[in-house]
Amino acid sequence: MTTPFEAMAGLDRLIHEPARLAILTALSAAQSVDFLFLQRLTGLTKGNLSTHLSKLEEAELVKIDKHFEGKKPITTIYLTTKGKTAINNHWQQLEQLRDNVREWEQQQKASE
Amino acid sequence: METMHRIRFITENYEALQGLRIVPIWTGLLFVSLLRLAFPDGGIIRSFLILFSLVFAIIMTVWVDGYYKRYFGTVKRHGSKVSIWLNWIVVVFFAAMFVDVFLQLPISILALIAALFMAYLWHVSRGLLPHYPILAILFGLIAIMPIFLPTETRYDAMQLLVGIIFVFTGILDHRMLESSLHPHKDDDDDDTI
Repeated sequence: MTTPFEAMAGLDRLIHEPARLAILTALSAAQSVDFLFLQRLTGLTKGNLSTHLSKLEEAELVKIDKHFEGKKPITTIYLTTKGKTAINNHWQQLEQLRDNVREWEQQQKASE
Repeated sequence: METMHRIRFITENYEALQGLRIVPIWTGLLFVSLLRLAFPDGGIIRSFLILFSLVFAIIMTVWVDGYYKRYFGTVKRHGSKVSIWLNWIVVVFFAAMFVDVFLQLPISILALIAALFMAYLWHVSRGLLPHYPILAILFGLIAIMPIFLPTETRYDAMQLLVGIIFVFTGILDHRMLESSLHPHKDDDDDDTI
């Protein structure tokens, strides 16, 4: 059996970074969201959010659509199929990890 | 984990939490009930004021919609989930309304269902909507009001109370949404990445 520390090292760092995990979690709960909503939800600056979204887009986890509504530019972000699978797997891994930590703690207490 | 639950809950229920959306229409209906109770014989002034309050409510609703889009952003929900839920809610509420109007029971089934619905919403929010248990109790009290009210003014009085409750609910939902999100910065016109 792997220890929780080994399992933690196996987590995808691209997804596990807190801001990106928050972005992907929000996206998994909707069909699409706009840039302003993500900014207000995460509290990231415009530049920071843009950087995180670019990384996620490069990894093909999100799709970004830019268009105009009148004169106002609107940026809409979608989760790709690959992104959906990745975030679902990641959450499963985290749940599993939490269970493993509890089990590991009990084993440690028992061996003391 | 709690933060992620909050993020998921806010995104999933984003439109429902835009509480100010229901304030104008319920204020309008509240005003209509007041007018009907104050002028039971009708008249041109009452008709004009009712029409004015409803038109004002519609205009304000459109304005609130724009306010949320401009300062809070937009979330498009998964269509299928929403439509299934909405269909069920509409069917149940109309059935309850039918029972209330035609059977004239000593308790309001519609208010009772609303009370249960509020309790359910509080449960699924896992504590993010702390005012919902109070709403459930208030709707429970409204459900037994027909016992104490004369038939001719029953519905206007109940609509008045429901209107007041929904106006406060809308304001509290909005405050919950506002406090769950980070402050809006005024340089947000440049919405590009």
